[in-house]
Amino acid sequence: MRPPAITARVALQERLTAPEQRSDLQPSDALPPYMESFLAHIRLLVGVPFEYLIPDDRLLPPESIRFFYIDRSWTDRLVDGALAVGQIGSRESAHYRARATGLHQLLDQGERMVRSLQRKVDFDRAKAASDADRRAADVVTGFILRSSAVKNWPHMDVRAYDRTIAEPYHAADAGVAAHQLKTLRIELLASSVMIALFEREPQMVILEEPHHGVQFGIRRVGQTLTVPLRDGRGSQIRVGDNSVPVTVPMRSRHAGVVRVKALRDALQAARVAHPAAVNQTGSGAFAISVLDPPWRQHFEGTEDHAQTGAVPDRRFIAVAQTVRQAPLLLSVRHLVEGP
Amino acid sequence: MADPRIGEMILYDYILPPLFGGEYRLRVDTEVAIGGADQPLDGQDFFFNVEGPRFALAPNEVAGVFPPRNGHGSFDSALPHVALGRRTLPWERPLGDAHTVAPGQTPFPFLALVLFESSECEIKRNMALTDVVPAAVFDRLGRPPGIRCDAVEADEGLLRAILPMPEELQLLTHVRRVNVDDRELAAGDSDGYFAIVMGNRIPQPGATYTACLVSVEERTDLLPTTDVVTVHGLEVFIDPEAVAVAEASSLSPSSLGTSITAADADRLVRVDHDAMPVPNVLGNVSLPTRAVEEEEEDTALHGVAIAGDLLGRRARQAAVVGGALLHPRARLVLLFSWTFTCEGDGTFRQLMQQLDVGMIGDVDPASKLAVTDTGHIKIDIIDRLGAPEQSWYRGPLVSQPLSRDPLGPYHSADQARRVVAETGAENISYASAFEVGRLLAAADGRLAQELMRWRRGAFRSSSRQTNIDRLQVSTRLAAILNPLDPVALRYAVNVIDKIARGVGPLVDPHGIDVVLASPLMQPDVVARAYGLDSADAAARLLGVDALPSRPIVVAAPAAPLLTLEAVLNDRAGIESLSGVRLRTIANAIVKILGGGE
Repeated sequence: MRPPAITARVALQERLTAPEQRSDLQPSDALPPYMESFLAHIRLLVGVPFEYLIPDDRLLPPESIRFFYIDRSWTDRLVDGALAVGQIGSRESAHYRARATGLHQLLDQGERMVRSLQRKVDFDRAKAASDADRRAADVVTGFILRSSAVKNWPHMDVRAYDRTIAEPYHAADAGVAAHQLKTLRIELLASSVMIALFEREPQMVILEEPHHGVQFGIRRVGQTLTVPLRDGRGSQIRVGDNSVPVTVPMRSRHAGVVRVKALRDALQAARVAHPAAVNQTGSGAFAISVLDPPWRQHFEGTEDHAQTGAVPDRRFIAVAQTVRQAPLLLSVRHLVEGP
Repeated sequence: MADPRIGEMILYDYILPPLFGGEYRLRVDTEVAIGGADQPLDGQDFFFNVEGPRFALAPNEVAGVFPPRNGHGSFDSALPHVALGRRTLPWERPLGDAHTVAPGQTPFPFLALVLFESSECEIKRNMALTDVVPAAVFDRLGRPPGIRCDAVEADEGLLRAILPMPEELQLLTHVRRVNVDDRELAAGDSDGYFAIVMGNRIPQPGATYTACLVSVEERTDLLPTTDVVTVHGLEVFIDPEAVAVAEASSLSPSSLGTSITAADADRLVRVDHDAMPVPNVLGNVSLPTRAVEEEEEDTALHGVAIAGDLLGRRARQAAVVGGALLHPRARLVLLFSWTFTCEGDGTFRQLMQQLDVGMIGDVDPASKLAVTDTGHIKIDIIDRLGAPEQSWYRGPLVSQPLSRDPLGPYHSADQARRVVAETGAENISYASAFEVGRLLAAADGRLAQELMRWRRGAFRSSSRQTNIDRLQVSTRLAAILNPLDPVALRYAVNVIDKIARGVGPLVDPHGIDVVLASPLMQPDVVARAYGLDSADAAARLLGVDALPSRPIVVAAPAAPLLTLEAVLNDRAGIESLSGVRLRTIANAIVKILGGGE
């Protein structure tokens, strides 16, 4: 038999004669932050080559959106694979086997901090925030969008809700925000492909035109152009069911050019009749007057429970569940170990 | 400033940078007084420049444009605009000395977004600044040496017609602050602030446009100062400089070229105003250059009209070709440009509504891609023997919720390979997941190091725990419960404690327990050994007087016995103990010898 590398006696002697005693405040086998962050990232498929997500082009044709669930077994294997680096002997395997359960629980929590980390939040702060959320890991869902809209309208708003919410609504209202699902990841995989991941199952997903790209809209009525009068929050001022149009003055020397200052004066003049209209104090107020509100695209429900608003029963498809059944396990053990 | 709530944005008229671009001197002086007397110290000067984008703009400063770059769509009801990631950019340079405002008032931006039809302008790359701006403007810009920049060249009359007035520039530029919680990550900037520069020209359907973000710093030679004038009771636009020139009626020959005299010019101006109907004048202004070139031979009247139009401007760049005048061209410093076509569908709304919506795995039947109801597809692989093979594969994106495989952890990809009973083909989904994870981790040098450190730390702490356990057993020291305690220190304290406490009182200083441990002094043992009925019988056999029946009393010494001498001098104790001992032994002898009785 091979002599042991170190005996208790030698260890004690070394420890007693060591120039300085170890006094780390962290247990020496705690997961290093960099590893935790890396593993949490790949849990959300960050960095996984696109061919592995969409193995065939035809699964995601141009101008399409595909919703999905994340297969947790798949992402668990990713983590297993990452930890297989340098796993050369039974010692490393035993080490991982002993820690796998705890590690996966840790990552279930850690998934929630990935988005903060991606947005350059400090690791300790992000981890404190995600650790405060003690809920067990839930289903992760999402969509992958391939459209020229992704490229042409960068930074569109993406939100998911656990119930259908009727328009019009303000996303920031407490009643609405309470139903918003946590966004785990929104990222561009290519210039026109966007992936978004949410925690839990959404009933409604919205894509909203980016706010900094909200366009300046003008209505064409025959040959004349008008803008509807708006209040300080961008809502149209209505008389009955109709908006109040203000004619856009154009330069007569060049028909396509708006007389911006004259338009501002016209908008201000319209305030006499409609005092709710935004006061034209500067470029900000002028911008509100000519903004088109962003278009908000809804994706709601599925064929099964369209429009009902009810949360459907979640039906899991069992993977490898049968192997865990007690009688089967027992008989296997009998075979291997003898009765 | 309150943060914008989800789904909202806040608009600001302008945001000024703390320091404007330019050269600065920082002077440091220290005032020292010793005993009331000033003690001057040398001050020191530091020089620094604040430089922002002036003649060029890095592409990443542009956060977004509308209409989208190279986009096709019905953009004919929208003003173009460009969003800049740097919120102070439009106000970082002054528009010109003539356009300064008091603090607290809306400043003039130096950027303008100009929309050209593609045929109206020409973009020139990498020009010397002196070729782009007139000499007077170059002087006002401070004669920066060696600047090369991009430029956009267009008909000067057109530029005057479509460029915004300085007051309009103020209205066309603002800052938006948007909520960034629900959007994908921006490459760099994600503070939510964007400076927006709007154009003032509405695209017409069916045309291709080039939108140009230009610097109009000091370009008061091109920016119009008014856009409306009343002529014949009609509100029309007339080039203000043309009016000024016409009224002055004095044009120097040099500004007109050589073929038209001042008198001709005066006549032309008058013809312009009196004889020509106003719309005609307006119509001719934007006559394309090519048309003039074609007709330069014989169209005297046209030439007159053109000349008249030309007279209206400072004919700085007037070119005289065989007696006819060409439209002068003007150039502007170009910071950013993009093109779009105004036709068909292509707004955000139309794109969204035409999306093909489905769960992952929904494929067009025409595409001939076989997807199983579980979402697997067949892929061609080459197995490790080199033979081509078909396997099932499914990515991490699935169309139904799946439970988690509880059989982990896996230590090699082969453990995760599965064979599908129905087809006999292999399912390599999880095995490939394992391999991707392994490759991703192996590609990350730092991760591999951290992984090793993590393992080493764990091995070390478990070997340490083993040592602690072994020590505890072998030396019978107090247990160390907190694994973080410094072991050696704790044990050293333990040992010293033990030494300091000294040895407690001996349990059996006189050997009585040893005597009593003799089997013959224990009736139970004797009864078992001889098969007697009860311990009483054994007691009778051993003698009623057997010692255990009454306690042994030893008088306690008057003082603690700490030395050997003290023990030896304790006569009373020794005698009483010797008495008990002797009695016990005598008792035993008597009982054994006379046992046959």
